[in-house]
Amino acid sequence: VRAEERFEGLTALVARRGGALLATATLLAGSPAAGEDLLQAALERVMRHWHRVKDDPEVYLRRTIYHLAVDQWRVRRRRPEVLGKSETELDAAALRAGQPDGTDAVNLRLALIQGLAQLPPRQRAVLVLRYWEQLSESEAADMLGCSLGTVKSSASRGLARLRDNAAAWTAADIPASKPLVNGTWS
Amino acid sequence: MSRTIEDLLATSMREAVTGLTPDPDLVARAARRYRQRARVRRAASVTGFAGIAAAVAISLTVASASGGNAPGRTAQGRNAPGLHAPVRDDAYVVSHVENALTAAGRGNRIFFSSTTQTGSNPGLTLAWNTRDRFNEMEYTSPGHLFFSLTVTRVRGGLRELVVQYLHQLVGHQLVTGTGSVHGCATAADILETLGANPNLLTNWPATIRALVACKLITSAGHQRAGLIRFAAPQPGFPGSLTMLVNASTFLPSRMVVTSSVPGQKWQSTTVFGSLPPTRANLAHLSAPIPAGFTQINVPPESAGQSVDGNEMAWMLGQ
Repeated sequence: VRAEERFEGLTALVARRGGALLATATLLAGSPAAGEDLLQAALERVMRHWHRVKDDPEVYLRRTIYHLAVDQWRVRRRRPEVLGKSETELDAAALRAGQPDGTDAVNLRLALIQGLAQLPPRQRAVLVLRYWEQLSESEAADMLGCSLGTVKSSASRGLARLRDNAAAWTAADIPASKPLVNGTWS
Repeated sequence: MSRTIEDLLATSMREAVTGLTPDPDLVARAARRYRQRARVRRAASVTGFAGIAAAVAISLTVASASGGNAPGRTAQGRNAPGLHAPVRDDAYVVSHVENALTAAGRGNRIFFSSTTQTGSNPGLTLAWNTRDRFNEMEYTSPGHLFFSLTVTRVRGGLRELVVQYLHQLVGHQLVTGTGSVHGCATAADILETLGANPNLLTNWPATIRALVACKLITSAGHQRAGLIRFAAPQPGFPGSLTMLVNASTFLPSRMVVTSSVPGQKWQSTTVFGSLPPTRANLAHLSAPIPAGFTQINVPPESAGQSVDGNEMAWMLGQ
């Protein structure tokens, strides 16, 4: 049987739900390119065990994506593109200078996504399950095959680190919009 | 912050992955790689190490023969002979940036830019853009509002409103015609204009789209910290131009332009953003006109016959 025919269920699934699957993989892997590689690796893994997939293949594929992201992906992947502090990295202090308007919110969101990519794989996976897939803690634990306590502690630690990142962007001391007093931006 | 970190994270995630679609060849690529590995596993089980070596050799031959569809290639490795190779080829990045900017120009969100200039003519320019309207506000370095320009698309042309805050003057002008502006020639003009005064450019989606489409700035290919760098390879450009594009949304994040013209040395840093069309944000599309300012009526002019007309047309993305 040709591979195309054998895996036509997977082809149809990716054609139908590819965007959502790639979105999850991208959030887990840190970039669209790395996400596509993660999705490809998960597809390979599912193909290897295709004869065992009796139920909804999407559930199986999703579970595989998460397991690869947490357990093996970081070991197998090439050296990541993000090399730590670089001149292109968003620098809250530099960007805030002379920037009194809505870009703070945009930059905060970008900083959160960058912070997410820098979390340990399990914390990242838990946050993606909880706040992207909107799963409950017990559902997240089931998906990752770990205990409820592990999910709770991972989510708590991950959020705490993101909160620290976000603190640099808090616009508390910057007016949301510029008040103009006698034509002067105060 | 008024919103919780959980809400912000959910919003950030949504924005970061909007519009992602997998490569149509993804399943076929995975299947090829699966077959390659299965071949290696079978060889290993039959002949041991020698078989593995042979299977690997065969796989490598197949991989090199099949070029871009090689089973061992991945999205990150497709263009990548080395560790720091590009994650996407330039054509892919350029087309995605163009598409993202086109969508930004069509949508109802407000494209926002904040430009800070140091060196000669220091100051701050804030600009807000929608499809039919733009407004820019210029501040001196100490933060005094001294100039605003608002352009609205009206029947038969464009209406321009200029406010000179220092002189307390308000000027209206109707620019008739559409001021046809043709892609690359105008992009070259714009690059030249950037060298003169970056604050003149306020329709960033249209401007950047033209700069990218005409290859006046090109992707340097490397992706770091979620950003892709574009740079101007113009040999005649008296300075440098670098733009950073968000690797997820392909929308510009920052642009830095420097001028090295003697006596006119400056650096401008523009931060881009996309704002929802809330009442507060839409209010930025109008300039405040304090009472008592003197009204001046400027005679109408024809777009396409003057530099101003072309600039106006550009500002509205024509």
